[in-house]
Amino acid sequence: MSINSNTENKMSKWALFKSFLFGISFILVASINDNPSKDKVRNPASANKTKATTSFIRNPLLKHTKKLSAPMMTHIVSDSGEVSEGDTFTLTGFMKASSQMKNVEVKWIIPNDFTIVNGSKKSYITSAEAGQDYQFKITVKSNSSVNQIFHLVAKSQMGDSHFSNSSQFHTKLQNELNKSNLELYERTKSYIENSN
Amino acid sequence: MSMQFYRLITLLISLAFVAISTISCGLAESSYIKSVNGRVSPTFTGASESSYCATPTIYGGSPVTITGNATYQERASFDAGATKGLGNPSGGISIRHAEVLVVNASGTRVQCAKTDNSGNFSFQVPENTSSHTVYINSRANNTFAKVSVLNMPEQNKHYSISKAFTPNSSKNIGNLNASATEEVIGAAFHILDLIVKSNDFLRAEAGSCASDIVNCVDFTVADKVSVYWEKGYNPNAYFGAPTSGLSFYLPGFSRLFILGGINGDVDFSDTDHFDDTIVIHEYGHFLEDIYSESDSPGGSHSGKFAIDPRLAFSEAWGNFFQAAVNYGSASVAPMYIDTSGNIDGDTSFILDIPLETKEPSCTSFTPGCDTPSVSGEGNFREFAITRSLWDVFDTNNDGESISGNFNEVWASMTSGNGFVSGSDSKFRDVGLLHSIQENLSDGVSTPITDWAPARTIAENGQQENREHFAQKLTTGGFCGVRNFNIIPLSEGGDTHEFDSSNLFHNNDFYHYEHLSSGPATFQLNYLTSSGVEADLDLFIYDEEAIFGSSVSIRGHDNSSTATDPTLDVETQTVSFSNLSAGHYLINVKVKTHISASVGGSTDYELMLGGFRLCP
Repeated sequence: MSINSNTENKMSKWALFKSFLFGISFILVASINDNPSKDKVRNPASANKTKATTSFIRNPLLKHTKKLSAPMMTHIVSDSGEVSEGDTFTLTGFMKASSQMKNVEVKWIIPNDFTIVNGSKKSYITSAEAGQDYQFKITVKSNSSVNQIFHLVAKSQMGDSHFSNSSQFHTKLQNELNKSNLELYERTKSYIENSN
Repeated sequence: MSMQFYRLITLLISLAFVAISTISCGLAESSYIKSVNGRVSPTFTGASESSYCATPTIYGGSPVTITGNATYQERASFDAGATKGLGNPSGGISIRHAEVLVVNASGTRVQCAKTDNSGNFSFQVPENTSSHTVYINSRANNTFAKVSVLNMPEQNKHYSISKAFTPNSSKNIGNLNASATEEVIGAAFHILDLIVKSNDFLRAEAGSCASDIVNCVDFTVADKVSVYWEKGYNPNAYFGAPTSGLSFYLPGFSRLFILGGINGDVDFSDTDHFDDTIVIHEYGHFLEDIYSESDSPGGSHSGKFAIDPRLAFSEAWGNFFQAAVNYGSASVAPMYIDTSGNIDGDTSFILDIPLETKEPSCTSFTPGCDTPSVSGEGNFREFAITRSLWDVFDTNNDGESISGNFNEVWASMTSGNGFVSGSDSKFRDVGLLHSIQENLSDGVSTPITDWAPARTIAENGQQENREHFAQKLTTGGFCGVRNFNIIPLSEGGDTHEFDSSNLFHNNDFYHYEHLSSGPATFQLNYLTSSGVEADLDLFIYDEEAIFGSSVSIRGHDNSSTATDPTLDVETQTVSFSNLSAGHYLINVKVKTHISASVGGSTDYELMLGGFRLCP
């Protein structure tokens, strides 16, 4: 049951297919729906009077409640696939607030073995508009041969209430994580649908 | 020729698969990815747990007595002004009432025991010079709690701390500790302890419920629950959202899933294993499932919008229960706290919501503010309900002087004349809870306590009836023409889709019981007397009634009257050739996108087969 985030590196064969699998994983990432229960199904409306369209909501995969979340979300996009020692790459962090927020602090948490080439670790938004994406780019050089995790953290305060959200990027395992997580979702969906 | 071609293509595809598989096998996997790859579904039934070690063996002769002590470490939340989140590992906290297993050098089980309330254990084994091992397991199955903290449903492995000893004489083997770092095994024992703590609370508050309240049953110990937790694993990965942290209860399965981190990370990411709020909130859902009835449709909730009253009540119950267990009735500052990371990485509060009163400077956009604009809207607001439940429990007099009423909440939810009773107890929400509480009796008085002061505090804003949700209608009553009224509300953020429709102001809901299968025609007749004509739609939901769900909607008429702006009687009709017997939720919904105005005050009536449906 142990977990080791600094996975040992035996990537020689893997490197041959790196670009191929990166392409595949890009497709997989693009197809990941981060909120399947919110899918909309556009059904035909009834035929009386003026026709009206209604976007019905698809039932969740399995009935469960979601956790309360902070009124902001973050995510990270990389311009690179798997990062090797010596690589320079750029991460773009996104922060979106679901309601107007004041004094949002956004910071990168960068592992020790990386050097900032361009960009700053910390930014402030004095007034974040609801629904608007804010971008934070940082370019770094890797001095690491093992998987490392970058984090983007957004924090804010409204009165005495505090809110935060974070996201992560794995320098070596991101594609494989995306692939494994997507396969798990497909297995779960298939298992539940076949059980019903 | 073509057959050979297809065979060649098939062969090449097969070889490609083998090549990719071989490469995948050559790729070093993290143990986290192995864990994900070994999972199937939260509903999966994997290998059985190992048998629980409950019955002590009595040894004759002169056995030796082995004693010791078991502890775990947690990380408590802290608020130091600019820095807040999860702190350093605590000192050792007693592992209470947990399973103790002893095996000999060949791995044979030789003794069973359990830790006491201070984490101490004591057992006897025959005197022997070979090495033995004592295991403290993350399970309890006794009169204090029934719970197994396991890794995943696919494997059902519990967590352990262990120590080797030689039983050559009676001795104390000292302390065994489950750490809050490295493999974070302390988390499994912390979750176990929170379940024990919840059972302790229920025994204290509802252990003599039968003598306090007619039809209430004394609480002793809750049925067994399985809690699935693994370091670094996010249960939301099952649902395709691996980067969005989730803990949840799985109704009907007696399974809790607790967030152990995101993609293997625990120090910088959202975790719930040390968030007492989240663990006990989810256990509250388990209690609701086993001892009461919940009609919550699940889904999203924000703490700032009017939501489905069934979801609002269920979530409020979880919020209240965790506050009652974690803070106790004397607290004046109960909180809902969800943390991210810990002080060894980067830590923060994802949310910190006060539950006694709303945060003074909060706005309608602040999670947890949840302020009703009028009386009755509080029935649709999770934190308004949470605050009112807290108010009937706590000893703080802030606009009410009610205290110590946990047993009345519990009785309303669990007793035979509460949520679990008859056909009128459908689409359960806090309005139903209040109406049940008003009829509770201690054999002398009914009601036992008047909750009106807590219910009617402005920021709680609740009504003790079902006027605004799931009032039962029949064709057997009497009511006048267009006896109902709705005043449409235009508000920012309404995207005209179901998920932004104001459930309190722009929707009305009624309970209808179809006693025997057969044809049914529902008709909505409505009239806007002045101003802009409103456009109302009619939806008939099944008993599950997930708002806006294509599966739950049995029939609807959402045709628009926007092209006919005359102020005349409009009609929506939904017909069924054979509607199954059962309970249905009738929804009258304002279509908000007809024009700049959503329409004026509108009177309406509901008809079934030509007969008016009345309360």
